[in-house]
Amino acid sequence: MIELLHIVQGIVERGLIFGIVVAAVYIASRLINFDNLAVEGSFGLGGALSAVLIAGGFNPWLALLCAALVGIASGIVTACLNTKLQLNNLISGIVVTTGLFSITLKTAGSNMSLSGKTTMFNTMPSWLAPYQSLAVLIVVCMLIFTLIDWLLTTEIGFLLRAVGDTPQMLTNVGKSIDRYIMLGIALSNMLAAMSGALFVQYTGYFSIWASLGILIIGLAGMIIAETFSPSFGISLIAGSIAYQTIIAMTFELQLNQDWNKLITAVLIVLLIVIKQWLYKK
Amino acid sequence: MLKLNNIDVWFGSNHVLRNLSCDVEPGDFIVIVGANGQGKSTLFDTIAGKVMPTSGTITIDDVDVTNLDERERASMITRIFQNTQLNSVGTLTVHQNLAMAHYSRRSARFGDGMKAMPRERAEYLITSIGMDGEVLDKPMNALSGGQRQLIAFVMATQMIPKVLLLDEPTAALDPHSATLLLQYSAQFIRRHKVTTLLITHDPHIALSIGNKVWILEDGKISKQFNAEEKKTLNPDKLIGQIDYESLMI
Repeated sequence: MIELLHIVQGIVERGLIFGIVVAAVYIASRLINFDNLAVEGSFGLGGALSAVLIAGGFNPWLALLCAALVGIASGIVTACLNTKLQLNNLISGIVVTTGLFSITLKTAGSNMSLSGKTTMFNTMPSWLAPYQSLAVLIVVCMLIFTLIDWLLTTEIGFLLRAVGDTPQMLTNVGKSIDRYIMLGIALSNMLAAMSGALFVQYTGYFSIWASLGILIIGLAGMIIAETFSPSFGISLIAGSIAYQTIIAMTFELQLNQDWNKLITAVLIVLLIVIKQWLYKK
Repeated sequence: MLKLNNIDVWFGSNHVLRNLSCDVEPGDFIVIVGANGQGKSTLFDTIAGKVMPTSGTITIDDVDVTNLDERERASMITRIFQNTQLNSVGTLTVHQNLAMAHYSRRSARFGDGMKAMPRERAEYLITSIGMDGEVLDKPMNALSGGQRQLIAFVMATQMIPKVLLLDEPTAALDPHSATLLLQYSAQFIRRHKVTTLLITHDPHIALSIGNKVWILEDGKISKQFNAEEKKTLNPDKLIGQIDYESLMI
């Protein structure tokens, strides 16, 4: 029973970390209608920067903030490639992710251990130790989701929602479409980078390969989440946890983990087909 | 008021507007008619700043706006598109769309997005176009094309523009919705003396609204009729009519 609880706790914790990536994918794909492939690069860079700063004795919470800032920067670059240089949104994301791979590698090398270092997950009192990761992640996710939820109810939030639906509407009210695309992509990449930083601190280890396939995790979580609710909110976390549950089940069923990516791909196709089928009904 | 001087617009090798010049007086309500492909929408695109002219100048109240883009001209020009989906945000509610119309001509803020449009004011606006207040909480996507276009007009008129461009606003509407929209727009234009240009394919609308009619042919204004001359025009001969007899089976 205790073992099962530990498994569930692990699933929820990973679900919370990747729930932030799901939010990043949702903001880009659903709110501003921009398929942001730079999410993967930002996740890696956020993780790498966080690892280097923590290894250097930096405050782990400030390391998370720094990761957020580099995420914003990579988002701005992605948006500029698209809006100023007129690169297709997919190509902008691919180019940035490719470029960020080298920057990430130069920042933290191919891997780095944070063993013995102070992270966000080992600074709590000992009595809270078994649940400190869960508690920290719940607080961080609550803060992030509440802030974005609030942002979307502001005037700027309305315009952000409008840019993906009817860009012409921004022009009609004299606002710059490019600026709001930039804001959305910066927000998306900021979340991806923060998720990367949290993941590295949570696992206590940075690997350049950890960001591989992050986009598909975000996409799968978002598609599952949309079966609960089409709006931005806690459903994105629920979608992420549901996806992590499916992946955990493949462990429990002792499936060869080499098949994980194929299972994810099939799962995404199945969910989309079921959604379309339900919509037609 | 609105002056176009020797406007030429080329799309590749296609000469769409040909040395077009016109002078719109303040408070004019001009109806522009013409067959497809004569340059009507391009004329509106050029006035609104969506298309930059290859040569020529555009002035509004003696201010040269030729080099201003569409966004910069939005503080002076309001446009209602034929495509109802371009005039509002489908995923936002009617109330949210009405609030957004107030962000025009000022910077958007981090403050409450709905503050610009109190519920009572929104209900008043919606009931003034014959709709129920309950529609305010529905997303725009859930409304019919006619309803969307009426609400778009209410949104567009939250700020009084110097020039109002109505690009076939009734094209996708049933006769009842079209009448409502035209009545509402005529009231607004009369009350605020807004300089207005309307494109329509309906000769009956062309002759029953506005104070001038222009006929656009081959990228130029080929004929202009004032209010008196307009009364003498035959709607069936204005831009041709459907040959119903040839459709009989």
